[in-house]
Amino acid sequence: MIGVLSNPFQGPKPSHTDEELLAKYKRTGDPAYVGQLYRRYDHKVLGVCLFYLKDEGDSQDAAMDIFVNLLENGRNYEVKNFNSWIYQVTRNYCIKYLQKQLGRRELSTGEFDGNLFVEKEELGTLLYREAVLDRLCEAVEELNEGQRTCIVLFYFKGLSYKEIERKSTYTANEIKSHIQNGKRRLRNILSESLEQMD
Amino acid sequence: MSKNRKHTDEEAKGVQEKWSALWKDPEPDAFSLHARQGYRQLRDPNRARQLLSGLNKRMDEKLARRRPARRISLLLPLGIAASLALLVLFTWLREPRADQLAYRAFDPLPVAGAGVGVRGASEGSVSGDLRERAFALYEAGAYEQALEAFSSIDTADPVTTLYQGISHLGAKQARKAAHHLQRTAEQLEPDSPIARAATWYLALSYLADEQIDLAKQKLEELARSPGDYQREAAALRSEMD
Repeated sequence: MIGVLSNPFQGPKPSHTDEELLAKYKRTGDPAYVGQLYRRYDHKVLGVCLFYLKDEGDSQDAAMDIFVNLLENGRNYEVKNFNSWIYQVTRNYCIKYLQKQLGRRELSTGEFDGNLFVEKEELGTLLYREAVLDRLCEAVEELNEGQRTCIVLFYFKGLSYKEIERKSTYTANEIKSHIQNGKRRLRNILSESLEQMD
Repeated sequence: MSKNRKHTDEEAKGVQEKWSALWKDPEPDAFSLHARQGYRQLRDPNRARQLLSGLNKRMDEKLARRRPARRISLLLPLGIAASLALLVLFTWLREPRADQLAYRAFDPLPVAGAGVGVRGASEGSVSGDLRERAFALYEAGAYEQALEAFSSIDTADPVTTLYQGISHLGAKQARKAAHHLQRTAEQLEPDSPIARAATWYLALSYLADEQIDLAKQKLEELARSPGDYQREAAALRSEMD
């Protein structure tokens, strides 16, 4: 069906389920089937990436990586429910990315031993850590604009104070203050959430 | 309404329905809820569509690069050249034998550049290396060695079975070629470029194996419908009368 589906909008009838499209891709290797799946889920995948990564460019790159991975390795996957599967893939991708970013920052600052925004003893299982990251991503939106901008650039994007100064309208002192206050506020929000989760 | 216009309208309708479903679903699943939260973080609501449009362009480019159809379309000039050469030769040699006719028309399908399907998903792995080796041998015209390499890899993939069939034809093993090419064609929609290429080489295989009626039937199939090999099939079919 390679030629028939040369345009991702053509080819399989709308009645094809996600799982049928993936099965057809596995059988034929025609990338247009992945194109169809992409058209059905691009907006949701991008939205979830935006939720976690807080950066438009990084989110586009992440969404692209997720679908390219599907294109390259989709024929090896056993998927029973594509909606749940692609959601989990997207979530895992973002969480892994964030953990790497935050871990890098943690190493560079040497401030904490377990997590930048949560005390070490509060961290439990992997699922718990993921729930903390989920809540952290929500909590960032509760910061004021200065705090949010500086926290995202410093922790999520890994920029230095000087780089943030160049990218924003804030002075070095303001950046330092926004990061300190923002971090304190995040820890308070997360502590409350963690108490509710226990 | 032009085809393109219709296409754009359908696309716009599809996008609209998708967004409505995301925002208006009274019982959204966790995926939709997370996505909604992500978009709410954007300061400009129109930004979401701009971002998605940028992503669509990138993905379309990626899909187009991976599309085997593009590779097949490169065959058209080669096919035309092959058929012209065939006609010239045919004026010199009257009433050739069927297998001679088949091998005069035989022009191996080129392997496209890296990353357009033939290299497979397992690049860098053992099976990826074998696949790479099989196609390199095929391109070098070392059909028997290519067949050995093809036999060591997963041949369920229609692109691989297509080239495996052509390698058999190149190695003068017409019956085996027909077996693989028939398998390839059966896996795909008849009008797809790979299916048409498989049918063309299948017709040549039948011809080389002196199965004249089957060869005629395949050539007539190709000549009847527009697409790759239509002219070549018509020309070869008329030479068989």
